[in-house]
Amino acid sequence: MPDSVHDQPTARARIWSWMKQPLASVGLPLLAIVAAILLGSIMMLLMGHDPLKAYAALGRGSFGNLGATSETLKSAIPLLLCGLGIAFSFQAGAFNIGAVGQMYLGALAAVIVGGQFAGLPAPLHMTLATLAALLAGGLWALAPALFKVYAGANEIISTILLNYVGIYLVDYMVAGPIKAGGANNAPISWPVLEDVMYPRLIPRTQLHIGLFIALTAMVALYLVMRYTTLGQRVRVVGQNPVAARHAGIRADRVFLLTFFVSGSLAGLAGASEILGYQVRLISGFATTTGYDAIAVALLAGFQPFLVGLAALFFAGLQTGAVAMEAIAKLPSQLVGMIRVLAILAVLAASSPRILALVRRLQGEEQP
Amino acid sequence: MTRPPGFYAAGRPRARLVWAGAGLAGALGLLLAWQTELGRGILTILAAPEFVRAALIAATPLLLAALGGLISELSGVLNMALESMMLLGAFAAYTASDYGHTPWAGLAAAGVVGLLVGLLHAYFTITLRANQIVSAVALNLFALAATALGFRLIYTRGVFITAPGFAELRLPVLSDLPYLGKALFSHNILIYLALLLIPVMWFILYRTAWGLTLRSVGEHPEAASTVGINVNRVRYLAVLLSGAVAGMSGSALVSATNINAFQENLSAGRGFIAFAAVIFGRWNPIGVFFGAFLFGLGDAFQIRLQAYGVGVPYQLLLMLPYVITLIALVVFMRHARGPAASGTPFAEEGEA
Amino acid sequence: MTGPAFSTTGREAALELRQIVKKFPGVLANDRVDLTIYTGEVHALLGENGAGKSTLMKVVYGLYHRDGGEILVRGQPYDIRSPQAAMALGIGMVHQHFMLIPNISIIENIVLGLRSDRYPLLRLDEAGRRVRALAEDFGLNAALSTKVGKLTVGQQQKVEIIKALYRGARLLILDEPTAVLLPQETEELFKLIEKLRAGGVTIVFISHKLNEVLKISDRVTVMRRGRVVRTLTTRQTSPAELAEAMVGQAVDLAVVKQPRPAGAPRLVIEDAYARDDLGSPKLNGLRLALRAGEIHGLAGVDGNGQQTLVEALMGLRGLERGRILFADQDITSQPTAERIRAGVVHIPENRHTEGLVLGLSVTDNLLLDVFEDPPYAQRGWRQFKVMDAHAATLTQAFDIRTPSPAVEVRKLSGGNQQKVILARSLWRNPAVLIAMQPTRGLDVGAAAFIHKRLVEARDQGCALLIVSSELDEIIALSDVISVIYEGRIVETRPTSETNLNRIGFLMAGGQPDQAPTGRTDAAPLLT
Repeated sequence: MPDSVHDQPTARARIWSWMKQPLASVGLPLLAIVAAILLGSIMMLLMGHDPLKAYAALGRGSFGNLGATSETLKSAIPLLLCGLGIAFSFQAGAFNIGAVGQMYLGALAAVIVGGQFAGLPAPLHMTLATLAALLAGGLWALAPALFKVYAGANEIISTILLNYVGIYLVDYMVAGPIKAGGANNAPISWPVLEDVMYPRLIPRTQLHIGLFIALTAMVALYLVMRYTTLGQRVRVVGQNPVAARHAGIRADRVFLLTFFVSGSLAGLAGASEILGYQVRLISGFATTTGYDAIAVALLAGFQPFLVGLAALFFAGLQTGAVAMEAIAKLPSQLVGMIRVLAILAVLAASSPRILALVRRLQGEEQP
Repeated sequence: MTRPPGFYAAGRPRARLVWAGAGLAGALGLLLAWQTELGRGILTILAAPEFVRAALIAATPLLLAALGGLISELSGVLNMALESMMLLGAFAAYTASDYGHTPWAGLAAAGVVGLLVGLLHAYFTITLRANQIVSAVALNLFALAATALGFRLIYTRGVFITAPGFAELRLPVLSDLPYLGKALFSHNILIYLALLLIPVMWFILYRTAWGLTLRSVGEHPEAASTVGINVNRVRYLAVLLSGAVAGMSGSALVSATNINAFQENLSAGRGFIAFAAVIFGRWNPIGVFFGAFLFGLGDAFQIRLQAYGVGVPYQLLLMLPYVITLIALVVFMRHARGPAASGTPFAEEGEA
Repeated sequence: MTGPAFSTTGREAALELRQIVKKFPGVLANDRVDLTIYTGEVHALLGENGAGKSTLMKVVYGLYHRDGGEILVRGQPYDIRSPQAAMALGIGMVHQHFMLIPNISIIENIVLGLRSDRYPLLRLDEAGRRVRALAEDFGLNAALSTKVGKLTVGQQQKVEIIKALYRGARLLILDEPTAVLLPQETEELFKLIEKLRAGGVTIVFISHKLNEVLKISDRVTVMRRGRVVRTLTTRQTSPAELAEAMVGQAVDLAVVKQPRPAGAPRLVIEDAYARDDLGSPKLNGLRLALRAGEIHGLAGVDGNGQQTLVEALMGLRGLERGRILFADQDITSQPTAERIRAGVVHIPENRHTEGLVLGLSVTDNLLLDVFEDPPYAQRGWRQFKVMDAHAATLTQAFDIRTPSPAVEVRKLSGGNQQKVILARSLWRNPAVLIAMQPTRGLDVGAAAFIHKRLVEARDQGCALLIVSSELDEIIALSDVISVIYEGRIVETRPTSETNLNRIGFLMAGGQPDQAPTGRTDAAPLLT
């Protein structure tokens, strides 16, 4: 391989290199979203609908008034929490696709702890239920990480398999051991005690303090990645686990830790759904959130603050879809396609080939 | 300069103790089981020809997807997008059988749709050199969204339609054999075709220049390149073909529902089980069959147990195929040694 | 060599290159190169690493596409765009890193990419009949159904040559063919080359080793920085003339080293048994002692346990039996990080996969093994100012050429990347340094710099272990040389009491009591 030659950078190049990092990372997802919206418009036109009207309905339905906005924010909470966990694990080279199962286990733990032990002081009880969810999610994620480290079992496959195991476990629990009492035969769990529920942020909406938990996690993750040795360890292991080992970093431990943290965040997402507004655990209560969160993390390029933006975008599409269906008579599933198109656009735009092309256009690597 | 370690970095092989132990435990278990009424009931289920028959039906979609996956993997491109190929293939198979009034239209459509997904995966991973895993994750999300939308657009809610399926093919003499006739020789033609694909693929892989080229590209792309093989073209073809075969697994999936119907997320992770079957099968078509058949057995067993009423809640029984896969993964992955260049893109000269 | 000097008169040009230009991003790899190879000659292409020899031949073989110039084969211009086109013109190439697929058979490797007359069927038996004659001719004594991974390096090279001849090669390019061979295997290769030449095959022999070029070639073309310096008739030139043409000025690149008494044993490994990732035994009762202020060279054919030994010494791999002592303390089960903190550091074999995180900055890579320790971090918070100051000091002290320490290490040249690893290992005056292939792939200047620093470390009392596949490098640097064979040290001797032939004999598994004796000739090191 030839060695590249480097000239002293000019002042302009220096400034550009300072700016382009955030520019590139914010610009990319935005570009992808725009591309997805355009492609979505084409699909609407093909289906004989007016995209402008549809998007207007979508916008009104997601951010049009206080109710809609708080609904969107509420939906963004689990996406943000799971998305942060996935972003964290992916940065360490640990492909955790198991947020669905981890979230289910979190919700299960929250409803078990939150529905029992009446008489505990409310703040303590709430904290315990939340911590139980965190722990349950974390441990459910730790299992595939251990399988990987000690048996070499591919973590992608095992986390996906555990998603199904988790879903069926919850199905079983709500139909049996933690089934609601009374004559009702529906598979639905007992309720969480009333004073264990998270306080509402805005009266007469479902927006709850889970939003603060999620935002705190977002800022914390940013600080960890930017300023701490743990963040650096995750980066090193994620980019080159072999070199990490040679430098004395225990890549295995980092792998286990990131999986645990990632699962904990998904567990928190499960808790915030139950303790935030759902009260009871139902079979199939969030089958897609954990997968959507992967998309959120991918769209954000694993940057914490961008995960926040992407979660908001996804949540907005989700709540707006109902209005779009009602007003513009477009199937709500179309929104799913717009999301996926955004991901595919990001995937293409962040690929080595396209990045190399962009660099060449910027004149960075002239022979 | 040594090459970076491939996706399947080898692990330390384990002693045969595991096998001996498993065999012993199995034999002991059988003996004990026979002592109880429940155990006798279960053993009766297992001995019935319907059990193997159901297992084969359940294994066929996995087999096709895994054979598809095998082609791509051998060329050095990880194919975790099998799930998306299977799901989109199933939707295409269902819709085309329904509109075309023949399951063959469905099979063809499934193949074409799978091929197109393969094209996307190839474009992302080979042309753009995007991460092969991330591409697959995105494609799987795409398949979920696209089939949900397509199903919604074509089949308005509430109306449930059964598409035409493959008829059972009765073979002279063979179908009338006592146990085997029922278990092995009274299936629809798609199952025979899938089984036929095993020796065909084996022959192509190990007895033709095409197979040699494919394997060389997955093992040592630079070496293949120096004898004039166009590595990325071979990989493109492999991923396309992989998509076509895996897409057809969707057709088998629809026909395995017994009522030839489609529903959202019909594949339910089977694409990933197929991916695992490639690993258990040690990247060899015959091994892959046994991998797929193992899960077919698990699936069939689980359904039979539900029907028998063993007192275990059905939700826990539904976990069985996934748990079996998980256990197999934990036991076998360490021995696995996949194509050396698996997961690493190949850059031609001058490409950065 | 005997006989008259090689004459070009009356010979046909097998290959003629006119004004060949080949560019890579940032580098002009071949700059208007003219070269004529005559039928039936052994033509050496001499130059240091990075001089453009391999690039030029890859252009001829169709692996690279030239950016300018003409290629004439037997007088006719051709546009060679692929290896297939080259093969069709009777050009074959044996690459420095063999292009063989380890887990398929010899015969499958030989026919790979070819069409049998019953395409797409393989017809291995038929091909086998035709290959067998060639195999016997070249003394390849292995069944054609053997997997190539099971062959020795020398046998693999024969497979490569047979592969090229089977494809009709009349012009054979050998890229650094001796780099991986034992001295006695090299002898065998030279005989084989003579045989090929007698059979009318034209040979281009790429090398950076003067003595080999002088021994085997009819004519020599020396390249430097992408250009042809001159073409000489081997019999009419001298080592001094070639060396000067190769390096550009009369420089003395021999390692300068004053004799120095060694200190006490500092790192000792005793009765070590260990296996590699695949479970095959790699260390079989190995014992070795590294002394303070001594450079200990480890010679051996790749795969005889060097890798596993280094991993064991660094705590990257556990021992099944045996123990490791550092300054008389048992550190057998100490993790890597603690060993590094105690001053046992290493330069890994492959800088890209093991040594560096290419996507991180030079600073991050300089601090890769200390970024969690004070003063670079306080209670888990990274101290960027301290880190930057440290990086600035090291880039200067080790002459690391980078626009700024904040640049991704990926963008540095190979030599500067290796200096990053060297700086990371040496800045704290380590007690022990284990260096694997410390100068692989580097140009003369960078290699000399690294050699100098290694000798300096020894003079300051560091105990060094140098593992290298370049025997010349080991002999030039080491105070003591051990030979490893099948996971055991066969012999340890002071460098002054051993020689190249003896080491080669032992590397191949020979017994010490039958090994040739004698002193080492102090050959100048030109790597």
